[in-house]
Amino acid sequence: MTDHELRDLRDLLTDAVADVEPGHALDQIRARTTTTRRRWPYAAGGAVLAVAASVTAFAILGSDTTPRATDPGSTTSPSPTPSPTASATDSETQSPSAVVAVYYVGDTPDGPRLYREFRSAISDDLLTEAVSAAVGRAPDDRPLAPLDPDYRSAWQSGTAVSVRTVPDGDDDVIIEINLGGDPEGSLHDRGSLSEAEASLAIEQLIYTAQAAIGERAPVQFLLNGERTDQVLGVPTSEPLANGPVLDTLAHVSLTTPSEGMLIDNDEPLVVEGVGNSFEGNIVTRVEDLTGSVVVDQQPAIAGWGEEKLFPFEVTLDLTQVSPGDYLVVSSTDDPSGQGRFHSDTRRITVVE
Amino acid sequence: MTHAALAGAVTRAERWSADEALEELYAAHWRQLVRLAVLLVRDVGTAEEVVQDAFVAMHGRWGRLRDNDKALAYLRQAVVNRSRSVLRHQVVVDRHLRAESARPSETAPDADTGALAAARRIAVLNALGQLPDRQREVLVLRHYLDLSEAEIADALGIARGSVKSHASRGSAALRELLGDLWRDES
Repeated sequence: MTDHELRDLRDLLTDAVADVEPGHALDQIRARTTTTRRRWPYAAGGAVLAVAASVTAFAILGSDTTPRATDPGSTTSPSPTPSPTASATDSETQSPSAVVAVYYVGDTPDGPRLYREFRSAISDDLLTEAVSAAVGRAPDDRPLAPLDPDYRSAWQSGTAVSVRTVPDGDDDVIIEINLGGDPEGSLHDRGSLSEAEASLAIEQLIYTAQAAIGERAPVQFLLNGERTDQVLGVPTSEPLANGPVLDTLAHVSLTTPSEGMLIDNDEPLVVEGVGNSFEGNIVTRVEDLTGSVVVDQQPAIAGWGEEKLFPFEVTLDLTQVSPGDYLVVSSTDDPSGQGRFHSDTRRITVVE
Repeated sequence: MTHAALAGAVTRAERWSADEALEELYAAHWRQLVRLAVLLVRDVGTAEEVVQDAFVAMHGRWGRLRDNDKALAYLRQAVVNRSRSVLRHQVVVDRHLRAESARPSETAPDADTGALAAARRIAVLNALGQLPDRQREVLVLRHYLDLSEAEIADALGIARGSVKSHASRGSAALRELLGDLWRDES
């Protein structure tokens, strides 16, 4: 592009919004920064404290934490196969030696919830690598964002973690998550995080660590190597169990396709995920970026009525879809008709 | 709040500085950030909500930002991310609503603004709306906010090489969509 064209582009953009004069909003913003937010019912009830002895493995484990066979080389086994030649900077283009499930915060009509994202892992410490990803940190200490831009970590950059399992009795283990990297005060106190955000931050790490070892083991938090009465204002003096699944996780979370995946339109598109929806109905459709449906919604039956997410799978025909960028949208059913359904989306690029 | 009330109270002092930063950043950047969001989501009301949310989130994270420059970078990033979420949410929740809100700026053209200029504004916003998210974001950050490639890479969490390719693909696509309007700057 020539300098002249660059200037034209800049002028076009500037001109396009030159008549936009937004209203005054400082008072509204101020009101919202001082509002007492809804208490997080789980933490408020004190149920977040659970001693190791009272925690048993969850039935949901199989469906919730095990990557499907379509994730090449996937494993949640605690004995990883390290790939010494992989470098952190382009790990996504390498064939992964392992896949970890990382839980990130995303929005739902019921407020922020955790979504699960599978990522390739490269280090020989999958547990620490997965939990580090959840706080937004790569093995080489660089910032690491979720692959899906709809997700975010509740933790601020600069937070570092190391994670290990320690035996607890004959058969059980406790996961020990040691937090550091930031000034102590900011990890000890909630600061200006809402209680919901602080609780979800803790749940991000509990769910991610449990998925990495394939066991709903209790989690003991440490701050700079020491036991601490609280992390982000959440009581942590005792090992914590994960929060109730349906109050913590989004009710639909896609496993495949992954964000940005290239899909050949001659091949059927297999959409897989986990969900919990009224009468088990999860509907999946493909839309172009203007919101026009290009593949009508198709139902899949997950399950409902239990405190867990059920796997679902649906196969879509893309032969009538021309090459380009699309969104795969899977949503829960909404019997109330009030639009309060959870959904997860993935951007895909269809090629011929 | 008096200085006496602040003395010795770290959290309250932080609180105060978050409020102060909010005020300063609002005064300096509110309008530009809303315009940025309009380029991303088109609808002015939606853009204002997105930027309000970003300011509220920035205030909440002040304890870790502690610096106006970092806070501004955070605000831009939050506006871009939330704009993208809004677009997707609209796609998902209610396409009719989206069609409604996708109308360009609700502000009526000034009496002395030529019809051509108004048409061009609408065409530019519509054309931006047709670009893939990343291309639109990169173009707007590069050419509306004048951010460097490195700054854009940080803001979007993508590699600098990707910034370059999104920028060149985006401007090529925009040129094609706009046709004569691109050069007709009179």
